[in-house]
Amino acid sequence: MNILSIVFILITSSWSWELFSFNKYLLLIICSSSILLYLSVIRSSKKILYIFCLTLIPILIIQWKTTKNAGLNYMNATDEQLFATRRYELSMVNPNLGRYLENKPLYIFHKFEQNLLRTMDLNLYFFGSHPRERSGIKEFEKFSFLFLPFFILGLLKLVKSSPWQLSISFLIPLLGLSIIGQDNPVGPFSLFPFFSVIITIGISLFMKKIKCFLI
Amino acid sequence: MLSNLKSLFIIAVILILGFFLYLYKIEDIPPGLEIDEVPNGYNAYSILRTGKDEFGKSFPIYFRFSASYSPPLYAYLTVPAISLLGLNITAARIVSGISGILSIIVIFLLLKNLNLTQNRFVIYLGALLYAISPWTIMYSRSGYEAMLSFLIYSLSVLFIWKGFKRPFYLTYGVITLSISVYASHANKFLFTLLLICLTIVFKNILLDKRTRKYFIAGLVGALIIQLPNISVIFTKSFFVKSSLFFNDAIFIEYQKIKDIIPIFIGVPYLYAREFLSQYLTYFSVRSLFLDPDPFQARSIPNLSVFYPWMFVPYLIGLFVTWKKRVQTNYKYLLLLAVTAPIPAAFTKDPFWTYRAIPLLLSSVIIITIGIDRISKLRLKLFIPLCCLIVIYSLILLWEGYFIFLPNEKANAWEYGYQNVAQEMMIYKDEHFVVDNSRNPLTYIQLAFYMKLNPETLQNAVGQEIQKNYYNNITINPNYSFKNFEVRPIFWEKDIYKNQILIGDRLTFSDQQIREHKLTRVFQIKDPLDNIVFEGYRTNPQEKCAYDRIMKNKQNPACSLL
Repeated sequence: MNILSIVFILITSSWSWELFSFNKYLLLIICSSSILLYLSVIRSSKKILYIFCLTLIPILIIQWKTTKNAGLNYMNATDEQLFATRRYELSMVNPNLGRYLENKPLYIFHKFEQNLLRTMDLNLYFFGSHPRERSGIKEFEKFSFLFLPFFILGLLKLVKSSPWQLSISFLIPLLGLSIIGQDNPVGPFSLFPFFSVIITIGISLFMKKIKCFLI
Repeated sequence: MLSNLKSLFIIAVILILGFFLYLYKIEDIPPGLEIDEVPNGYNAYSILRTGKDEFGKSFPIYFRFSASYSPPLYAYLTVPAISLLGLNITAARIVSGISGILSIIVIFLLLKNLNLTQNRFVIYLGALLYAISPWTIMYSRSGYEAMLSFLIYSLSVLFIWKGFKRPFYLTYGVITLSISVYASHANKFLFTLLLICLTIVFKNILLDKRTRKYFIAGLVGALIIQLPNISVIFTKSFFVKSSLFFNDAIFIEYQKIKDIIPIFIGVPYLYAREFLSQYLTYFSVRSLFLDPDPFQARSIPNLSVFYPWMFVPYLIGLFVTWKKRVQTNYKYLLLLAVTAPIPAAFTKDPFWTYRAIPLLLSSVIIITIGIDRISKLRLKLFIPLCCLIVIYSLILLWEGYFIFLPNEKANAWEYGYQNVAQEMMIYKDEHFVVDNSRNPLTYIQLAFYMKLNPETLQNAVGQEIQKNYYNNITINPNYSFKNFEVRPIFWEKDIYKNQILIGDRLTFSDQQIREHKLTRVFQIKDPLDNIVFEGYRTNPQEKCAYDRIMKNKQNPACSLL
């Protein structure tokens, strides 16, 4: 495994090109972050992992700043109408029910759940959310679907061998995205390092298996 | 293992809960009968009364309906229900309810026999979570074939698994799987696919000297059961759902890239992409735990097919299952999970819970494995936490299914036809024209609620359909009966006859009502106060007088008044 593998993934991913058109410097930070994460995995280096964590901070800040209607509090017109309708429906059963079952704290909790599960949808990354494209959001394929098997291979390998790297590079951005939301022109790019590294590991594993088979 | 008595008691409690959840207010929730439910009910009534379906075909292998050629088992099993309860919504849905209740037992037995969990309490919890999962509730309370096909499929999975140790069960398992083909279109493909995969993956067991003869006996039995199906294999009825596959969409998509990529690369690439995207959706946490089914009448507001919190044990269960895949029981589970959504993934509809219902089985088991893994943490509060989570889930279910669904999904469930039929029976001496421009299958709704004599419907259909039953796919939605017609309204003629015109909220505009001198007879609204249907009486004499004065002309029909 060498650094060229991760560079190959960074170059061939359509997500990189979208980020390049959006902001070249953002792409630079993300690519650096991805390389650092990759190095921390292959060298099992905690030091590099800490540096990676430092690069995550500006990425998350930019994610927050560039996301429209960020935050769990935000309610668009449709949400408000639905909220009112549901309160009315509950009040038909019991006047107090709306207060307990349809209120702002619960709305925030459900929004967090929604953001969390939408961010974890693999179709978002490999198929541009196809066949369940979201209305009002510009969908695009982040990585070619041909990388999907390598992603799964890499994920299964890293869950056992590098749980810390996996957890930090996935859970922290996931938590951030669950709070910030999904309405971003270049998608949940704070997860870019996670995906690119897993795919790279998967490809490397696959190549190793092919070499063993040929020998 | 808990003592037998305790075990029976817990299962009985879960069954009683299932009985309540699947049958409570089944007449009213969901509101109305969705168009795919009605033909099962009405054709069962027709079979009961005349031994023929609505088109006059005796005991058909598939029920033609609107050239959909539905698998027949559900309709035939509904016959005794209609005989006992009469032709009503409860009778049309009760087979699903009973299938749901019985499937709880099958799921429990599967969880027990597969031996995938270490904590025995978790087996009961798994059966309970299955019983209360939205996917189960949705199909146990509707008159579709889905829950019946799921019950038979799960039973066959149980028998086949038991057959690995006691070979004679294999015969029952394969035969049961064959029967499931008559309960669902998707099982036609899943039956063959599963058998092939089982034979390949478990050839050491299935083709062993000890088990081989039972497996082959099962295959022979399955083949005999499929003879009616085979007899229609060269008719249009057998591959009636082929239009659902995404072939056309692929070739349209290819036109965009044909200048860059040759067809022998481009088309397979697009096929692979489309299939994988559809297939992956069936394992996506967003589809399983967040977003409802895209088909309005098969979704619960605010709920997906499982509760949101279940994604945690699901992911853990998936990982554990993969890790232990070399063990026979986990390998069997993986095989079920991998094959279940394949037929549905070949169609263009995204995340169709109806077609992919076999996936419910493996998903529930995987979630149970995940919970079992969590229980190993030996949390002191594990059982109280489980109780709280179950209560929370039941609150979500009650809110989404029993409060929001009857209000928000009334239109999707074709609410209002029962009321229309009641109004028509009040004014039974009048003549009606019921507009079917936006719902060509209005006739069957009215036939159901008015309990129309099946012979009347059979006589209204031409002999052509009866003669060429399995090949005639033309649909004629217009019907004419003694005192009502189901067809589009012809405004140039219908307003000059004394009758009542019935249509939905788009049929009558204010201008038309004023100009044609219509008088409202009734208005049917849904629970959210939206107009669903309206009935207007014509006033031909007033209309003719109006035409004479305003347009200085007279319709020829006026001279007959």
